[in-house]
Amino acid sequence: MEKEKICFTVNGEDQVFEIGRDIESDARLSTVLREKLGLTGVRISCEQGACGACTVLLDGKSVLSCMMFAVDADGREVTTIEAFGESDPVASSFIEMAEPGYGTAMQCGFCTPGFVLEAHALLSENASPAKDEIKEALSGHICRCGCYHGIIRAVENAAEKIREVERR
Amino acid sequence: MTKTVYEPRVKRNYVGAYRPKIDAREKTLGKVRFFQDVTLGGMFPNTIYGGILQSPYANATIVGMDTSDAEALPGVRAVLRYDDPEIRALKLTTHAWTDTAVTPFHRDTIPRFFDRVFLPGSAKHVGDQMGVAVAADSPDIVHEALKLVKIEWDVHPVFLEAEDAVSAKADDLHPGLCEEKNKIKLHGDFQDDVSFETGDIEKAKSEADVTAHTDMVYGGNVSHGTLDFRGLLIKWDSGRIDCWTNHYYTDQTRMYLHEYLDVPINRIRVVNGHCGAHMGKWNMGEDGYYIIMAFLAKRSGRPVYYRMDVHEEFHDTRNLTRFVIDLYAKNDGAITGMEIEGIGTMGGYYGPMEYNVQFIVEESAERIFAPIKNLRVRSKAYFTNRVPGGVMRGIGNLQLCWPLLQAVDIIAEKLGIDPIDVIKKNFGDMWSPYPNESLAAVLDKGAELIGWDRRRKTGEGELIDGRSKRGFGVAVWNQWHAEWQENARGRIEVAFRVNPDLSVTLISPTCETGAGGNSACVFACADNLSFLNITPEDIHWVPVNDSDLGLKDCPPTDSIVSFLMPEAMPECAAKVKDEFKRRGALMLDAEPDELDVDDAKVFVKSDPSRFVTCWSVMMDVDCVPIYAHVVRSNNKTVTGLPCGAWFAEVEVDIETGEIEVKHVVLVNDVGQVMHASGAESQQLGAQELGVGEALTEDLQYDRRTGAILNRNYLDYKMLTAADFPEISPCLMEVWKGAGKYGAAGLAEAALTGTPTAIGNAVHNAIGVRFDSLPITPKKVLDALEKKERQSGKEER
Repeated sequence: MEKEKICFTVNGEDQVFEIGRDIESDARLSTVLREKLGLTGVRISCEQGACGACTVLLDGKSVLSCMMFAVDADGREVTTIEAFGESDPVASSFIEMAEPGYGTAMQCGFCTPGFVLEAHALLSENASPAKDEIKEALSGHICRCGCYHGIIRAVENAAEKIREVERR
Repeated sequence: MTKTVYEPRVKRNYVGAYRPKIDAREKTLGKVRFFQDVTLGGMFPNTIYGGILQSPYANATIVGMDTSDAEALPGVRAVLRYDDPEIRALKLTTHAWTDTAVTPFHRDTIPRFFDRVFLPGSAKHVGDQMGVAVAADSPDIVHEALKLVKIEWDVHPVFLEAEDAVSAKADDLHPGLCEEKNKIKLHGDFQDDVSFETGDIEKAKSEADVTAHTDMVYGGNVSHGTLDFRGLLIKWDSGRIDCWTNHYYTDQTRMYLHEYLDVPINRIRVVNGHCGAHMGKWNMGEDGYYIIMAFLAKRSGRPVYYRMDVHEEFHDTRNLTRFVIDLYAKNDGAITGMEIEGIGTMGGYYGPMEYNVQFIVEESAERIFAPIKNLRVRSKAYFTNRVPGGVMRGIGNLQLCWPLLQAVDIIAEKLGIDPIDVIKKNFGDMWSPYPNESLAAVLDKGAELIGWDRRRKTGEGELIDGRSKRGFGVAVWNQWHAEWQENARGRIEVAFRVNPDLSVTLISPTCETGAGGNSACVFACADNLSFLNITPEDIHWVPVNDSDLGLKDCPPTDSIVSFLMPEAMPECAAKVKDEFKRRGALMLDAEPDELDVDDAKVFVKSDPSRFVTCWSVMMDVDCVPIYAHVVRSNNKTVTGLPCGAWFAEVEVDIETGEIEVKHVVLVNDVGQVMHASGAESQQLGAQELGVGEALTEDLQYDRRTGAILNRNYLDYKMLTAADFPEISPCLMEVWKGAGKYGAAGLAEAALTGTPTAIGNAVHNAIGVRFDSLPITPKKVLDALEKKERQSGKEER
C-alpha cells in the first residue's frame, strides 16, 4: 500500500510531506528539495545521473537526487550543501584554493556544491584518500570549467584539515 | 607537474595576485542564484511553462498540422503555430543577434547572416525548433501537448557533407540566399574561391626545397557541454516586457526584444546574473525562442518559463572546418609560401563560418604567421542538414592551428630541424619586431617545463613496458583580444559608489560565467582606491545586471572583462578622489587643488597636519555616497599580440591503441596577469575541452536520418577528474598592451594549441598522423595496421 505521508530530515530538520497533497508520489527528491524547501544549492542539469550537479547526502552517502524519488528518502537523513558553512573543512578548502599551479576549485560554481558533498562522502569513509582514490570518487561529476586540479587539491587539503583536528 | 609562480612585471597589492575568487564562498556553499532558481520562492505567481517542437527530421516541411487536441488538453494556455500571421510577419533573424555583435549593423564583431525564420514550417536539421510552440501549466503538459499535435510531413533526403550539398539530389536549403545551391556568398569579390592572396605563391612553390601537405578536419562533432541550460522567464503585459535569463548579455538581449517585438527600449527590462560555463553557446542562434516565448506570454497573459532540455542543448556544435594546407619551405627551415583551402560544412543554418574559412586565415596572416609572405587562401562554405555550427570557445583558431602546426611539424621532420626552431623562424605578428620576443619566450619556457630534450626522432621514442611508445609535440598560437582589437565592442562603463562607511559598491556590469572578470574588477578597484585603504573585502561587486538600472554590460567573452573594465578604473578612482577633495575643501577651508587624499585622509599638501578623515567627510556632512562613473573608449594603439605555446607528452599503447596524455604544459604570455589564480584556472580548465576534443568528445550521427545518437551526457564523453592529465600552467608577462594594465585575453586561447600538440606528440610516438578528432583507440589501431601493411608492401 502506498504511504500517505513521508517524513525525512533535511539538514537536521524533520520534513513531512503528504503524498498527493504536498508532493506527487513520483516527485524526484531534487524537485522536492528545490521547489518545496527552496534549497537551490541542489542543482538541476542533465537529469540522467551523468553530471553529479544534484548530489546530496543520504545518511551520509552521496546520491543523485534527480535520480531518486522523494518517497524513497522516507525515514532517512538528507543533507544538502546548505547544511555547511565556511568553517566546514571541505567547504573552506574549496573556498580558499588559490595555490599556484592549481588554479581555483571552481569557476562558474554551478557544479561546486555537488563536488563538496561528494568529497564529504569520501572523507567520511576514508580520511586519507590517495590522489587516485579522490579522482575515482569524483569521477561521477562533470566540471565543464575543468577545475579538477583545484578540486582534487582542495579535497587533499580538506583531508589534512580533518586529520589535523583529529590529531588534536 | 611543474609549479611555476610567475614574476609580475609590476608588483601590485591585489591585481595579479594568487587569491581565491571573490565569490568562492557563495559558489562553494551553493548560495549563488542561477537562472533555474528564478521561479522559486513565489516571485512570479502564475508562471506557466513553454516548449517548442523539435523536428524529428533533418530535412522536412510541414504540409498539414492539426493542433486541436493539444489546444483542448487541460492546462494548455496558448498554442503558437508556424502559420500564425503575427509570427509570419516577423523578419528573418541571424545566429549571433544576442551575442557580441553590437547592435549597429556596420560594427559586427561576428559576421551575421539572416537565414533564420522564427518558428519555421520547414526543418533543416534534426532538433530544429520549429512548427509549433505551447505554453501550459506544467512541463509535463507542454510535452504531452506537443505530442498531441498531428503533423503531416513532406520528408526529403538528408545530406550531411559539403561535397553532397551541391549535388542534384540535395535540396536548396536557403533559396535566394546563396550564390549557388547551398554555397554561401562570402564577403568580397573574388574568383575561383581565392579570398586572399599576397606575394608570389607560384614562385615560392617552384623554388621550394621541401613541402608539406595536410588535409584535416576539425569540429562538427563536439558540444559546448554546459550544465546550466539556456532559458528565460518572460512577462509581456500592459505594453511592458520583463525578461529574466541566463543569457550572458543583458543589453543586447534587450535590443533583440526591441528589434523584433517593436516595444520601446525603456519598456523592456532584461535581468541576468550568474550563468554556468557556456563556452560560447549563447551565439548559436536558437535565441529565436525569446521571441516565441514572448508571444506565448502575451497571448496567455502569464509569465512563461522556458528552459532547454538536455537534447536541445546538444543541437549545436563547433564549426566543422576542413583545411587543405600546402607549405613551401627552404632547406634552412624558412617557410616561403603557404596555400590554404578552407572548406566549411555548415549545418542547416549559418554559424559564423566566414570567420572560420576566410577571416581567421586573413587575421592569422597578420597575427601569427606574418613572416610567411607568399599566401593564397581559398574559402568556401556549404549548408547541410547537420546541426548548426558556430561560436565555441577557441572559435576558428583551433580549427586552423590543427592542420597548420602539423604541417610545420612535417617540414621540421623532413629537414631534421627541431620544430621549435622552425616555429621561431616563421611565426610572429606583423606589428612586432622579428623574431618575436613573446613567441620565443613561451616556447623556451615550455620546452624547459616539458623536458623537450627528452624528445626523440619520430618512432624512436622510449618503449615503455614493452607496449607503449612515448612522444612529444608542440604547437603555438597568438593570444587574442588585446584592447585594440575590441573597438567594435564599443565603450565600456564602470561606476564606483563609495558609501558613507567607506565600503564600496562596484558596478562593473557583466554576467559572471566563471571567466572571473568580477574578481579582476574587484582587485583593480581595490588597487585604484588604495588612497582609501580599501581592500577587496570592502568591495561589493553587484552580481545582477538589470537593464533598468542604467549601465551597459560588457559580455564576458575570453576573460576580456578582466582587463577592459579595470582599464577604466584609474579614471573612476580619480573622480572619487576629486570629489573627496571637493568635499574636504569645504571642511578644511581650502581649495580642492591644495588638497590630496591618502591613507583615507584628505589633507593639505603643503601642511599634512591639516586633514580630515575620509570617514568624517562622509559621515559628518550628509552621508551622501560618492558616485563616480566612467564611460571609456578603448585605447586603439596597435600593440601587436602576445603568444602562447602548448606542449604535450603522450604514451600510445600500440596493443590497445589507447593514448595517455602524460603531461600538458601551456605557457601563455598575457601581458598583465589580472588574477593569477583565475588565470591559471582558465589555463587548466581549458584542457577539459582541449584534451577532451582531442581524445574523447565525439557527436555521432545516424548517417541515414541525420540524428545525433549520443545527445546526452552519458554517451557524449567529457573528461572527469579521473581522466584529467597532469597539466602545468605557466603565465608570462613579456608583451604589453597599451593601457595601464596592457593585458590580453586568455580564456579562448588557452586551449587553442592543445589538440595540435597532442596530435604532433602522437605522431612523434608512433609515426602516424590523424586527419580528424578525436583520436580514438580504434583509429590508432587502424592506422598502425595500415602503416604495417604499407611497410610490408614496401619491403616486398
